[in-house]
Amino acid sequence: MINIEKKLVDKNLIITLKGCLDTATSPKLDNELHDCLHDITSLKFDFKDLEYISSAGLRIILRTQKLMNKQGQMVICNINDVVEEIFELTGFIDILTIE
Amino acid sequence: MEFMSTFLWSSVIVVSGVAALYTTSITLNNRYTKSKMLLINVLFLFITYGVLFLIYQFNHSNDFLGIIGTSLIVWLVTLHISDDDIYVKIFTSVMSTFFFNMTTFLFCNTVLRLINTSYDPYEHNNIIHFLFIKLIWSIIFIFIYKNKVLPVVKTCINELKLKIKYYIPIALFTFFGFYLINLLISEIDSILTTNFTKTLFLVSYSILCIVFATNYFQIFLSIFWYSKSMRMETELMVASSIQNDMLPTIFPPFPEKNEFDIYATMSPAKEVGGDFYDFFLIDDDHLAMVIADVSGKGVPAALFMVISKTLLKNTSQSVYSPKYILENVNKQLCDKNETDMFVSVWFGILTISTGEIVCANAGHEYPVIKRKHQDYELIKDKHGLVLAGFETSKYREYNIKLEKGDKLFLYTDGVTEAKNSNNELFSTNRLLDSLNKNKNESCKTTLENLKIDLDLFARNTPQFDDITMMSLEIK
Repeated sequence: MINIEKKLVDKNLIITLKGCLDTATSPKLDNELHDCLHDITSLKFDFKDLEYISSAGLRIILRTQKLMNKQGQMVICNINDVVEEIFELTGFIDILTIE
Repeated sequence: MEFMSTFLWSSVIVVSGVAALYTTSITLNNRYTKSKMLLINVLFLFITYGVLFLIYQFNHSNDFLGIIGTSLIVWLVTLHISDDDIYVKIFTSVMSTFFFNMTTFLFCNTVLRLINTSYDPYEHNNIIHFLFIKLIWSIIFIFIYKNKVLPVVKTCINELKLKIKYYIPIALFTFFGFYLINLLISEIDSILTTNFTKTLFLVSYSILCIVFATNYFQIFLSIFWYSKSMRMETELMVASSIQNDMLPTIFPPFPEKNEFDIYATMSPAKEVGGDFYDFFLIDDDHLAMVIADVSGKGVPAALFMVISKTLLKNTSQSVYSPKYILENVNKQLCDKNETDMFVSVWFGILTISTGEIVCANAGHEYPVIKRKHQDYELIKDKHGLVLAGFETSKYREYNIKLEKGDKLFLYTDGVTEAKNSNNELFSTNRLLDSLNKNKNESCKTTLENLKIDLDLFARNTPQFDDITMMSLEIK
């Protein structure tokens, strides 16, 4: 299960994720992002309540990071130890901006 | 019945016979050439005509002999003209006679009765109407059948082959069942006396026909999709064995090399998977080792796996730098990677004479090392980004020196992220425990015992991800 909360101020979008981002839940995030990312110059992911991320989730993060590199910036904040370890293991930590 | 009426009524029955025979002959594989088939059709037409004419001359309402007899001739001719399996021939001919005899009679009778309640089918003018409706009906049906339905029927017959004998009872029940209903309709005036009951009967009967037709359609549609999915499954099995053949599975792989022992396994979660391992000699003193995990599962992952594996092997011919190999392959994988798939790779090159391994890690799990007389432990190596992520990714090399008796264990996240029914992960802790239980075993036994531990742990949960393991021991 995943819960996606969006807060849009001007061209800044904050997305709060709650639950697990895996094969089953990733398409939902993918659809949500697809609809709302044009014109956004600053994207912030709040991972405070994100318990786990699988390779399907990483794929969406990678795709979003590539897109935001072109049109602004992307930040991920409040990651827990599990997610941080996954980012480290997969080398994602080098390409993401983590606060 | 007067001569003209007998002639016309025989024509009505013959039209059904010819249409049925034509339908079977375009459905089945014919034994004869087109001109011979035409001759057989003409012969059939005349003989049946003659027989029917005689039958009706003696008894003007002997439709039992008329309809069933014509159908029987069609069945017999079908058995003779086609090379197909006997069950296919029976099924096809019964169904086509059912269609052209039963449905047309039912249809014509019903329609004419709805128009005219005191309708007598053997009355001269009525037979002409009947013949007219029947001709149009047959032509329309043959046209639709030939252009739309035939390919589907042929696919069904091809896929079902011998299994079609289980469908013959359905065809026979349909044929004789509807014959009985047909009789009932002919006697409708004497059985049902009020107009209301007659209308009720005809309406419920029409509903029955629609339900029946829909059901039949559904049965065949299911067979069609079933056979299609069976073929997909067969293709997946072939893909699966192609994928298996891509991985080195003969152990020991280099019987002439006794300086080291290597063993590896890959068990995909679906028919095909995205995990792979590989090892090959770059030259006489250098062994390349790869373990990798493509994001996602199934066919897309398998296709990406094939590309990654081929690029990694090709790039490492006569190159001794994992850093160079990973950076080079990464660039090639990033090119036109619209799907944003990626692959995590651990790549190592062992110098057999010295036991030195140069490795690089592109976002893959930590390798596990076991020094002689010690426990297995993780090597917390520096990770680069997974391959196919960003074109400009850089990778770092590091060295591991293995002495005699030392072991190296590599795996994919299918091992550490296997789940049990309480949603707990197998985790690196359980992995190390299991390895340490078997620390004095050979590479093969260690991997086999670890797989047993994994299966025991995830007992009631289906395998979710591909599980791949590789083990190396210096001797």
